[in-house]
Amino acid sequence: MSRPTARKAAPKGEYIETDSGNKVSRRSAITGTANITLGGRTVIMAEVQLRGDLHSTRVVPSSTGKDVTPTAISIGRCTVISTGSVIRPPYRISRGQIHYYPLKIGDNVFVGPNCTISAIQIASHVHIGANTVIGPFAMIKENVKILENTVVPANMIITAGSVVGGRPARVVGEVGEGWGVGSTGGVGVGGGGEKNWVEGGDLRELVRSIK
Amino acid sequence: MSAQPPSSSRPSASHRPTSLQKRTSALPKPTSLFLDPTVLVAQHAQFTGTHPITVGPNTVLHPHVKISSVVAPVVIGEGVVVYEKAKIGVGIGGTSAPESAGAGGAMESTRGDGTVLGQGVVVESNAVVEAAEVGEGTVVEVGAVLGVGCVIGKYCNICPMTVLAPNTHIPDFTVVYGAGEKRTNLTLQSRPEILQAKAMTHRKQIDMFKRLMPNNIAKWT
Repeated sequence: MSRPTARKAAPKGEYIETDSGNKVSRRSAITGTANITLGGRTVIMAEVQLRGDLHSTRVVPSSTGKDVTPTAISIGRCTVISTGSVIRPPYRISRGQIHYYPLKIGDNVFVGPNCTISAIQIASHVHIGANTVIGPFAMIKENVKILENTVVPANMIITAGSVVGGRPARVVGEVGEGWGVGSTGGVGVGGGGEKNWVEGGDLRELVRSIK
Repeated sequence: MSAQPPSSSRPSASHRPTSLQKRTSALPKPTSLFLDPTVLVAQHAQFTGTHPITVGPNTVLHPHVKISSVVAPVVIGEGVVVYEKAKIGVGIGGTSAPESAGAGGAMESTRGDGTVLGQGVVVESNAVVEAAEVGEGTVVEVGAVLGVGCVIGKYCNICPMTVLAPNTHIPDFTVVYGAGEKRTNLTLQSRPEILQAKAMTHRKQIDMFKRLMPNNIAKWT
């Protein structure tokens, strides 16, 4: 991740845009930036907490001999993390030691406002509704829709194409054919408040419209 | 924020009044804040209020934690972990609207004894704790809200997003889940070795935080 602080005399906008097109809000709270990777064209909105400082302390036997910085959070391309969400890597006891594990989020994932995420993996094209809690070591596969106010318990594995909701979360349906398809308009309207993206689809238009 | 009462506890007028907007908080610093030297306070953790705040040894406060003693004192025990954006203290949830509490006499009608968190309590992110007492080893999960005057027993588990009405009493070893349903965690109750294992994990977790997080305690002492 290119450091946003390295930029000088940037125009004062809400977002700092990195070389790879990531948009990170000035009002986001990111700790341990060295341990966070953003894939490009990813949006981190205001008041988002990314806990990169809680990284794995396991000694990696590396062939090169150089110490590699452990990754705590990796986020793919065109992913949007909305306001007030907290993203914290999960931990567990392994061989009598506490270990943090890297949290991976795929491409085109939409995370709604005020979510708390401690999953081990979220695959691509996942839509997460507002106020959702995702417990430690939950694993979410491709093309999943998580409804608003859901509480996904720890260690739950959500198979591809499911719709889940409730407290605790249960599978309530399937996304079916046509998930993420649509929005073929392709005329970059931008700005008019018009929704030119679909849940689980390509979020590039949405990312472009956020300024 | 500009209409601050001329409290005697505050130092004399700040010498740069124009820079007031730049400050992270214009609220008065707590006059009596007792932090154990072993406390880990992350950046952006916040203490406000005029009543005493006591924080016991080995407690970990994550970024953007808010602890308010505006209405009543706060006592945080030993080895407590409070995660991001959690709020602790009477009146901090904004639900109880204790406007009259400042008027002296009203203090006695509500519980005046403030908030006490026992040893090894874990308060997860976005939780709001206004409760009078939270017992040893209890876990308050993500986004749970404990109303004013709640008394929570030992080793309870308040599941994510649960809201407890003011003055609720929860006995020891209870799990509160879903829409206010309760059950007793018999496994934990009948097997002390599990409790020991949990306590050990908790201790190791605190040690881990001390290795990973920079301490900002100097700002508050």
